Amino acid sequence: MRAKRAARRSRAEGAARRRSRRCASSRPGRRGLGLALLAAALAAPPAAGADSSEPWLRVTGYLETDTAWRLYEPRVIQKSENRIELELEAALAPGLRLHAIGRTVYDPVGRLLGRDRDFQKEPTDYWPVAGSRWVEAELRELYLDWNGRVGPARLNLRLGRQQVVWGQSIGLRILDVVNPQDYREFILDDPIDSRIPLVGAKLDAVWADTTFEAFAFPEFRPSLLANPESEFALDPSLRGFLPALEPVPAAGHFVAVQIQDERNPKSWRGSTTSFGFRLARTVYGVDLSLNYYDAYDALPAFRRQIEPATFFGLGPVPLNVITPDHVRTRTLGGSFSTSFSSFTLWGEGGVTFGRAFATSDLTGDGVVRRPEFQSALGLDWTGSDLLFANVQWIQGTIVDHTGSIEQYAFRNFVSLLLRLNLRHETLLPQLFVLYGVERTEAMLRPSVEWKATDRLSVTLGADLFTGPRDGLLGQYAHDRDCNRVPDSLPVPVAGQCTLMVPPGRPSRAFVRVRWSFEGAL
Amino acid sequence: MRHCAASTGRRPLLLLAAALLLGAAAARAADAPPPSGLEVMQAVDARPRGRDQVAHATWHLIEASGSERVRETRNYWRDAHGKNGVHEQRLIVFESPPDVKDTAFLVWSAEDPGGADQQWLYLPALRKVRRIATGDRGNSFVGTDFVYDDLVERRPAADDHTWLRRESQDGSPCDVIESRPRTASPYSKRVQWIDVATRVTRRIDYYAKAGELEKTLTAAWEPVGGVWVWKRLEMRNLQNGHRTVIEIDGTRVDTGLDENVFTENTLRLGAP
Repeated sequence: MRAKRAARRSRAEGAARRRSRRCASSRPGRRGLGLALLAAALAAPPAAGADSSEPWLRVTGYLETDTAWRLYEPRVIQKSENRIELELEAALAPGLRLHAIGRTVYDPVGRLLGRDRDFQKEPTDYWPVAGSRWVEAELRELYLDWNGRVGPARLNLRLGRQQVVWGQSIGLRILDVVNPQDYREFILDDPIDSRIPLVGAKLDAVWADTTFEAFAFPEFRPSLLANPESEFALDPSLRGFLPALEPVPAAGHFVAVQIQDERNPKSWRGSTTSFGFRLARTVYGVDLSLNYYDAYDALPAFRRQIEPATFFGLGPVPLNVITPDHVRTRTLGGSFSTSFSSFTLWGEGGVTFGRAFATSDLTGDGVVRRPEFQSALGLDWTGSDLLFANVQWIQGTIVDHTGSIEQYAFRNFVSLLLRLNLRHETLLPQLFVLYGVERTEAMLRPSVEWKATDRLSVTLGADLFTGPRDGLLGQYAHDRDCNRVPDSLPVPVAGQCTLMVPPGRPSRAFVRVRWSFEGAL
Repeated sequence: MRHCAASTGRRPLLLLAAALLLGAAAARAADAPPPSGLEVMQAVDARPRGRDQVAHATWHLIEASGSERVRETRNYWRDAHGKNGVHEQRLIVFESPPDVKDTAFLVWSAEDPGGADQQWLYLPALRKVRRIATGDRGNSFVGTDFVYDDLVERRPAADDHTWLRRESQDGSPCDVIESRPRTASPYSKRVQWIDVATRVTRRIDYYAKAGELEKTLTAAWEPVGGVWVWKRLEMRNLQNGHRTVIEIDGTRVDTGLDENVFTENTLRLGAP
């Protein structure tokens, strides 16, 4: 039995590792189209206002050390990320620029990834250093940017690995769905770092006060869930986010599970290519946008198939075969923003058609597809020189929800952001609170940033969680109760915590020191 | 690596002729009866500025103790001629230091003196553009001694103007005009020194709502492309001793900037 569990665990870890790859290698391809577009673009005149005497190469970047300590037992260092990021901007020709961002991170602690990683099987941009220590290097973005005009329209063509950012909301993503996300640190990482850039082409055209943006990304990269052994692993009590592993009645309480490799759509195929557009215009003082995005969902759907299997001494029993899979979804949404007096009111919303939800119904493949409506409404207040305040209401609704869908039909969150601008914006205390209405749960993020000089900043802060175990935020307010960990999940033995089971309660205090630099030629 | 205004062989002759004309105009103006405050400010408003301007600026934020922070920006300005109710459009893109690099501020000033301006701010850390409320235009602009109201040009009809006196400022005869706001303003009044010959503003005293003198702005100008443009601005906060000095160089006039540059899209993608 132990051997079977070990084998099962190995498979699960393999799947989890594959989910956790931050830097899937990208194949060069479809270059012909890109070069043709580039040639056409270069034939057009550059945009007005371009300054031929600007530096041809700018280098900016920073060195940063980011150390966090667990506030609950075991009170140990949770991470010690030492990071260098380099950003290069090169003016290749009038209107043509090359942009690159590279990053290297060294964390001798490694609790954010899990302790028992098999480094030999990782992609080439991970390197083990001194046993359990590791270095991660990543080319975050690399693109050619062309600015020019065609007729009365101002155009921007961006080719390469890039981020596309939509929406207005703070802390949670509604329309900001184009790039997959790294959830290794739940939603605590800065958005610019947690978005996973994609390779493709994007065209922006501005004409007659209207912006049209269209893009196509032939590359598929999945969002990265936290490893089951890592600090921010999802709690098995959280409904709907992990495989639905209802006990098979014929087998009593015994659930045999086999988790297959994640099936990712292959990149550089027409059927895989994601695409979308955004139309934006300001009408009578209101910024409006219409957004459409058609892509494979970056989060996996866990398909289930029950097959008979023979186990030693038990005879044939139902085997729960779980296959992480990705389904095509289409999101149609929009946003608005307007200001009055000292307030800015904004909102965004979208319906995603075809989203897959885990179901407890044993008759199907474990997944049902439903539309999901998500929206956010926010109010900014800038009435004082010293204080910026923002409140948000964020909701999600699964349309035509049935009882067998594991995830709750409604999710409502409200948030509050208060930021003080002291000493000419060199001392910035801040509090961000995200409150989950249905589960009475919260995440609190107090911090204070001190910009000691133009180059050096120090940030002190904490990330705190409270709420019930089955809440999205509350799951991190509890020790992992091994007795509650189903046998079917990728943990070694139910009821017995080992090194493979994270201790839970990853609330933390942190200190971050960043030194920035720049240069130009 | 900053660009400089192009110089030609004819420039010294042009400048000499302009100086002679301005001197003659100043002499005539000194003999004429004083204009009304509104007439002076209408002349300021009608002063040629070109269709658009591009410039590089270095901002020195200087504490009372003498410690200094430096920001570099590239500034874009365009006369919108009232199209769609917009008087002028201004775009400021931060180039340095790294922690504020690519932060960008866009403002569309309302043609209607009582109308609401529209402002947007691009935050590179979020890669998002956020609309900013303009109800209280007295908020500091990114930690400087300038507030948002100082960065947009108030229309003559937005204030009641009173001609106070004529006196010299930086060696130039100036009309001193007191302007009390008729529309939203963070100040109770402004006292402005308007150059008699060129109609550029050489100094502004800003009075807080409570009535006390809060800040003083002094401005140096230079002729570029046939129009007068800022060369140096110094805003001194008399309450806390902090001051902001802006050195402007490389100004170019009539570069061909169109309305498509002054959009939320430019904030996201970077200036041309």
